[in-house]
Amino acid sequence: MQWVLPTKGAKKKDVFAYKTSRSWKEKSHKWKPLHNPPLSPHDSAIFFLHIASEVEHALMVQYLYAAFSLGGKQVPEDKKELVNEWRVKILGIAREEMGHLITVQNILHAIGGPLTFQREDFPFDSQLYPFHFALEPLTLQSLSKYVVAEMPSEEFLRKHRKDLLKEIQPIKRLAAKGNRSDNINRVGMIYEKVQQLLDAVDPSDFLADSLGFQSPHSAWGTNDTNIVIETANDVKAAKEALAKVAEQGEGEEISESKTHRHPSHFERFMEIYRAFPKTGKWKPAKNVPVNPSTNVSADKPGVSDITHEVSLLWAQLSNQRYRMILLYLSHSLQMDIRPASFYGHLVSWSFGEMYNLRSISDILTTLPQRNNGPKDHFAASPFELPYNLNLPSREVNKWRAHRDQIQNSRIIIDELLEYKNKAHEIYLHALRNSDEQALVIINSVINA
Amino acid sequence: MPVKDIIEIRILPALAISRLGSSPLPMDNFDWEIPDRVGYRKIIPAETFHIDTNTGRIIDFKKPEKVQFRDSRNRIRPIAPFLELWGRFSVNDPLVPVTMHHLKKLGLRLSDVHWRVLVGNNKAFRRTKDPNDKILSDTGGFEDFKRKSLKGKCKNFLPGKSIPFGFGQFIKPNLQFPEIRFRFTPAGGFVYGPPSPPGSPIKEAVYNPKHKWKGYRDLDSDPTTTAPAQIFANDLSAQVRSLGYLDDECDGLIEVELHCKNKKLRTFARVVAGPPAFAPDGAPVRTVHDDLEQALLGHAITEKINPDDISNIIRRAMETVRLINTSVMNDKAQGMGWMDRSSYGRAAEPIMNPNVVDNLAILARHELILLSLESGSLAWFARVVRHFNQVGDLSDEGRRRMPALMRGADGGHLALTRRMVNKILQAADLFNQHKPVRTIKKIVK
Repeated sequence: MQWVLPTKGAKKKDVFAYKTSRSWKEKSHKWKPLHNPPLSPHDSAIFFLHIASEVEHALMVQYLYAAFSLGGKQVPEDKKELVNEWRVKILGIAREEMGHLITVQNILHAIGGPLTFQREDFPFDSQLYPFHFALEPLTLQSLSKYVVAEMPSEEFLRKHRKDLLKEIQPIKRLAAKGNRSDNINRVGMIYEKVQQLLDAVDPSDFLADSLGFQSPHSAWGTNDTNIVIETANDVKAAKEALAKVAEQGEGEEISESKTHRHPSHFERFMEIYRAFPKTGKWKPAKNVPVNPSTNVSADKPGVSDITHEVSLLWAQLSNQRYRMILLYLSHSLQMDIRPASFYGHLVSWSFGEMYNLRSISDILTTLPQRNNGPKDHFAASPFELPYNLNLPSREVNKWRAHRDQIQNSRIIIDELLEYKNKAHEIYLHALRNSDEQALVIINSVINA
Repeated sequence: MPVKDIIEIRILPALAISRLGSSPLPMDNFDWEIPDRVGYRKIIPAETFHIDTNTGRIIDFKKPEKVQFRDSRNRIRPIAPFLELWGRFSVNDPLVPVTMHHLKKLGLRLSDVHWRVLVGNNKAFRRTKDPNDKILSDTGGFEDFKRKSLKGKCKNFLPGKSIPFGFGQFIKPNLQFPEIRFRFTPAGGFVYGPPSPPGSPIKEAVYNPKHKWKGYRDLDSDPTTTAPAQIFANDLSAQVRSLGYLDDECDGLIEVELHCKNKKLRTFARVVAGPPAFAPDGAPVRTVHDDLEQALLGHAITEKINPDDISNIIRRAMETVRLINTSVMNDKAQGMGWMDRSSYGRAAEPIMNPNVVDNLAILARHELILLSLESGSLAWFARVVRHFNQVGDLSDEGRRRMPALMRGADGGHLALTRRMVNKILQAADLFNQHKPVRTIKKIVK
């Protein structure tokens, strides 16, 4: 096996190669296999799709955290509308990342690979991951990382938008500074790589009958054409799907003068970056922790624990509802989709949990992070992953897992209700009632 | 307050909606309460007048132990609304209920209050355009407390025949309840028509079959045909010929005239008799109230938005969804899927993804939106609401807008009123900003 730089029209053997330099440069020609020992073409495609999935998942969570941090009393009155626009924009991007995540799972279905809902918290190899995972309030520095991760290639900018290439240089430097001095990798690079790898997959490994398991836009897109959710049953469709995902991030159409197209993630982040306060005169985001944790005994560097007893419970509830989204999503994507299969319920509940996460995050960012801490230091949703994201193999047991999650949630809700906080009681009661209704459906499936 | 003159009178409510029912015992009052933010409304009993229909006297005023929509013989109890006389005694006074004490101070008697009920059923006339198909009832003026039968007469009826539209009655005030009231009681909800073979649903033959309504056909070439076309009992032939059936629904005016010493004051209210509500613990997603509110206040929102108004719209959407077999109505051969094909020649396709329209799943989605209204998820809902000028958008995206799977009076996909849509759009903005309710000046076109 010889490791070489992939070129256009690369043969199967070529696409096993990948760059290695940790401080990556666009012109670097130092390539070596990312996976050692090397993998078969099919397995290699699955491996990279898993990386893509983990990256999309991580970006979605980090963007959500950044969006939820925005606003608060410290925002000057004349800036509130602007900050709200940013919040809406970033939440929109996070929603689109969810679409990307589903598209990647669909392509995994298409080539018969296992699905994944893991997230790169501490990647074993950062060559492809855009930046070190960090839940942080939106600052100029965190924003710079998002801009650079979503940017088109420098080669493209050099050719089509020299103005942007010049503008991006100081942003790249700031981003690297905020990333433990490591350069930021473009997300688009992963998709370029996967598209190459798909060419190497045996066409017979693309499974037309997998469409019955893939999640279509009509089920998940909330009728929003800006959300990219693609299905595929051959290499052409799969590559086109991934190209659309990459395009939505980087927006290479910025070279074209289309006036009504939906701006890419890169363009939206750039727009926010340009308007973001550079002097620290005012802060668009609340004082929420970097990498909050509910594990109070954790002694991890860079992790900030939530110790206030009520905030801790809300943070645990947030984690629980996050787990529920991932399990509903995971289950729905493993189903042979057909009417009356309870697929619709899983979709509805997934959406419901997204709303719940938002509600709970909004509550958390009004609560103190620590007992006796500064009054303007708030808690936030920690988005901690559970001990396990795997669903049982038997269908009925998957429903038992959903039942367990509702019961877990009930324990926390009941404890929170003991604090008799009137501002929260209505929501908690309604959440509990809503869960009870879901439980009726779930138990009917278990007992059927 | 000294009462020397009365300068204006009104009947309130200005529009009263009654509901048909064959029981002689009118329906008790009830209220809605929302015990669970994500659950359904609960019907709870409310205080109700009980009237002696022979004398017009109020014989009781109490809250029933439980709400019952049918009587002991399983007959539906009609909704029979009360209308009240209100007045203004000087230019700067507010409108207040007029009582027998006010009349006394003005030197007037109860017999100076003259009532008249004019109601009709012009459904057949609207299609045949034959004025002799109008079914009308006029009590003429009266000031006594006897219950007046509202006999619907029609020139095209068989000799001596009429359709009973219900009753009107001046309620006798007393010291405990001195207000001036009137009650409209609708009919039983029966079918009338021409002489028909045994087994037909006709209660009584009243219509002369020689006239147009029997055998009537809507013509596609006639632009004035009532929309939607052909929704009348018909012979199920390709020509869709009317069987000549009529019902005892009606609408019209209740007039009142106050004969003062030196002047006569007149006013009127509208009454409507509609079918019974078979899901009385909820309301449709768009109601007459919404349209009237828009007619009265315009489509733009210039005043303070009440978040409860938004919850109410979403709740009504949920209550509507629960009554729809969403899986069936989403089928390409049913409901709007079929309408789009038959009216516009669109390709026959389901509207939503059939795998996600399970009724309970859609209901759950609405409940969860209700749950999270204040968290900003309304922004998503606002994005997918159908605007008034999108009712003819037959693209996949257009047909999936909310409210989905329902038809408007124009035969197109149902849209909320412009005012409702503007409320949702502005509230989405409001919730998103996490600000307390404020006055919104922005006008959405």
